[in-house]
Amino acid sequence: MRIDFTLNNSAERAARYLTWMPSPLRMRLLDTLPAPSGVTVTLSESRQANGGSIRYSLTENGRFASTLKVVLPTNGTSVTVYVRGNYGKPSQTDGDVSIVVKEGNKVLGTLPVMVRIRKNANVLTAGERDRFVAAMAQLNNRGTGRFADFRLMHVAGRADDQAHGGPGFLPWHRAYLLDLERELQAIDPSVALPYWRFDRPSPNVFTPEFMGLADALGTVAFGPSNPLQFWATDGVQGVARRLIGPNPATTASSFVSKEAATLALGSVYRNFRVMQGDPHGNAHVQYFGGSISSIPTAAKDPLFFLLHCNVDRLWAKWQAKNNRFDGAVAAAYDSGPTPTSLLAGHNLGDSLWPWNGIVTSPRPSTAPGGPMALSPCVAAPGVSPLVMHMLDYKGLVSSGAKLGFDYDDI
Amino acid sequence: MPTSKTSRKAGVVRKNGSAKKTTTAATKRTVTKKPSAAADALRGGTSLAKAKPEALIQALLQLGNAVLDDRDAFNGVMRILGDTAADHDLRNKVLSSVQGLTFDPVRFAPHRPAYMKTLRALRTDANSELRQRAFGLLARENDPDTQAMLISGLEDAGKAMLPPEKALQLLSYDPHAGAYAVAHKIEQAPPNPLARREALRVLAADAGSVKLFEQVLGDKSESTEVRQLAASALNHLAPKRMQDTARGMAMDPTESDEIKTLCLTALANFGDPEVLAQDTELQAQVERYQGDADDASSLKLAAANLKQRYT
Repeated sequence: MRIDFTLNNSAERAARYLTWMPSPLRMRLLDTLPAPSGVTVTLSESRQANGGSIRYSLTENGRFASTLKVVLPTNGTSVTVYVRGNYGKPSQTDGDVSIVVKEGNKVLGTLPVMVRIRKNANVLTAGERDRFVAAMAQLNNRGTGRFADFRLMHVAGRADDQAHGGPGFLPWHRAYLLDLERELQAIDPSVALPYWRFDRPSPNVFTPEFMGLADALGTVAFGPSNPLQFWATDGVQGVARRLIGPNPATTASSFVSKEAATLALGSVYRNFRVMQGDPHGNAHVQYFGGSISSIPTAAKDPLFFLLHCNVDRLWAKWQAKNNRFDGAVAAAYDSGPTPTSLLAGHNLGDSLWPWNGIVTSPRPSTAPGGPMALSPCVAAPGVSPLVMHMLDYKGLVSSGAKLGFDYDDI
Repeated sequence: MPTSKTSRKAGVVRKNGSAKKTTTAATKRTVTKKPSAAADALRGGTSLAKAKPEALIQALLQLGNAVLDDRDAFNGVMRILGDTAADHDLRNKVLSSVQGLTFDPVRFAPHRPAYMKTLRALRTDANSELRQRAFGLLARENDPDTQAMLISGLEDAGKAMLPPEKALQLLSYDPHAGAYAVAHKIEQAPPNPLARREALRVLAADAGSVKLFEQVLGDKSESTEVRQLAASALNHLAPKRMQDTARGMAMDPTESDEIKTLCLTALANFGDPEVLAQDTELQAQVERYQGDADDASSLKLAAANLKQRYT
C-alpha cells in the first residue's frame, strides 16, 4: 500500500512549494486491498533541523493543525485536504519538511516540500543568500540573459509612466517582482526574493558575499565566490553604487520613513500611496548614489530588487492591517472618477504593460519580456495580469487569485 | 505669494497626464498648520540666508512630494542647490531629496527642465561632491554634453572637472559614450591605479579588448581585484574563452585560492553542465578542493557549487 500525492494540482516536483496560504493536497491509495470503510491515515510533518513546518486542514478555510486524520478509499478515489506553511516557521532549504502519511505507525508515503517565503535579506542563511545571488547571476548570464528584459521594462519615458505614473505604481512593481521571482525559481525553485529593510541597519546585506561593498569611488566589490562579480547590464560591467548618506549596514537614514510611519499613512490607498516618495524614493537616494539613485538605471543594481521587495512588503502589510485586498472596496485602490479615466495601466481593470504586449500609445512602443511567467504552484495571475489581480495576492477574496508568494512577517 | 494652504496631494494621473488635485486627511492637517519660517523661506517669503540649514531640511522633509505641487517652494529648493554660498552639506542633502522626488516622475515632469538646468550648472560648482554627483546624475541619463565634458577632461587635465577615475567610471554607464580611445590611453599610462581599473571597466564593453583582458587575467603580478575585473570582462566579451581559461586556472596549483575560487565560480554559474559532466580531470580536482580546503573557505564552497552543476 502506498500513497500517490498531487500538490497544488500537480504531480510535478516544481509544484512542491507552499506559502502561508492553503494549497490543495490530493491523495489516493495505490496497491491496496479493498476495504469498505477505507483506510484511516494520519498526516503529520517530518522536519529537518531548522526546517519549515506545515499544517493541515480538511477544508480550505478550516482549522489547521499539525496532524490530520483522513479516511482514504481503497478504490483509488482521491481525497483532497489542504496544507500550508506554519506561520513563523518557513523553510531554509528545499524539501526540509515532509508531508508524512501513516496508517498507525506504518509510513505509507512521504512528500518533501518547501515552505518558500520571502524573507528579510539580513537574516538569510548563507545557503539562502548564495542560492539567491547565483540565480540572479544566472538569470542575467553576463548581461545576455533573460534579466535584460527586466532592465528594459524599468526605464525612462512611457515605460516610466506605466511603472510610476499613478496609483498603479504598487501593482505594477508587484507584477514585476513576481515575474522576476518566477524566472529565478525556474533556475532554482528554492529561491524567494529577499527584502531589504531600508529603515533598519542591515549588516549582513552589504557584504562581499551578498550585495557587495562599495568603495569610495562607487565601484562595488564582490567576493571571489559571489557570482555577482560577473554582473553586467547593457554591456556595462559591474555595479556602480557610492555611499552618500549613512551606511545602511550600520545606520538607518533619518530621511527614510520607518515602517510604522509608513503604515500610519492612513487606511485609504490614496493616502498610503504617497509612500512612492517616502520611503520608496528616499530609499533609492538617501544611502547611495550610482545606478540605484536614478530611475533609468536603478534596475541595473541587484539591490534594487531587494529594495522593491520591501516596498511591496510594506504595501502587503498595509493591506493586511486595513483589510485592503478587494478591488471592489473603494479604499483598497485609488481609482479615477470612471473605470477608464486614469492613464492606461493604472485603472483597476487595465492590463499591465509589458505583459499585455500592447505597444500603442499611451503604452510604450515595445513590450520587453513577453507574457508573465507561469507558476507550477498557482494559476494566477495568468499571462497578462490586470491591475486588480495584484491586490488579492493571498487569495483572501478569491482563493484562485493567490499569486504564490508570502512574506515572513505577514 | 503662496500660502500655507499648499497641500500634500496624491497626484492622480489623468489620461492627458495632468495631475488631479485630491485632498487627503494629511492635507487637512497641513492646511491648519502654521507654516514654519523655513517653509516660508523655501517659498521666497523670507530670505533663505536667514533660515537655518537643519530647519530648511526639516521643511523639505515635511513637504515631501507635495513640494512638486508648489512651484514657489520647488524654485526655493533649486535656489538652495544653486547657491554657492549656502552650506555644502545642506546643498548635498537637498540634492538627495530632489533626486528622490524624481521617483514620482509624472508629478516631477513640470520641474524636470529646471532640475536639469541646475544639475548642468552644478558641474562647475566649487564643491567637489556636488560636482561629482551632478555629473553622475547626468551621466546616468546618457547626457551627451556631460559625456563630452568628461572625455574632454580626460584628454586635457586642465579641463578636468573630476578626477580621471571618476570620469571614467561615469563614462562606463554608456558603452556608446565614445570613451574607448581615451580609456586605452589611460590603461597604458595610468595616472594612478584606480584610474587604470576604471579604464579597464570602460573597456570591458569593447569587443576589441579581449586579448587585453586575457593578458591581465593571466598575469599573476596583477592585483586580485584587477584580475577579477578582467575575468568578468572576458566572461562577457568571450564567454567560451573565459570558460577555457577558468578551467586551466582552476587546476593551476600556483594560483591563489582567491583566483581558483573565482574560476570555479565562473564554471559553476556559466559553464555548460554537459561539458563539465564529462570533464573527469576537473572533477577530480574539485574533489580535492572539497577534501583539502578549510571548511569555511570560499574555495571549498565554490567547489561544492561547481559539483552541483554537473551532478
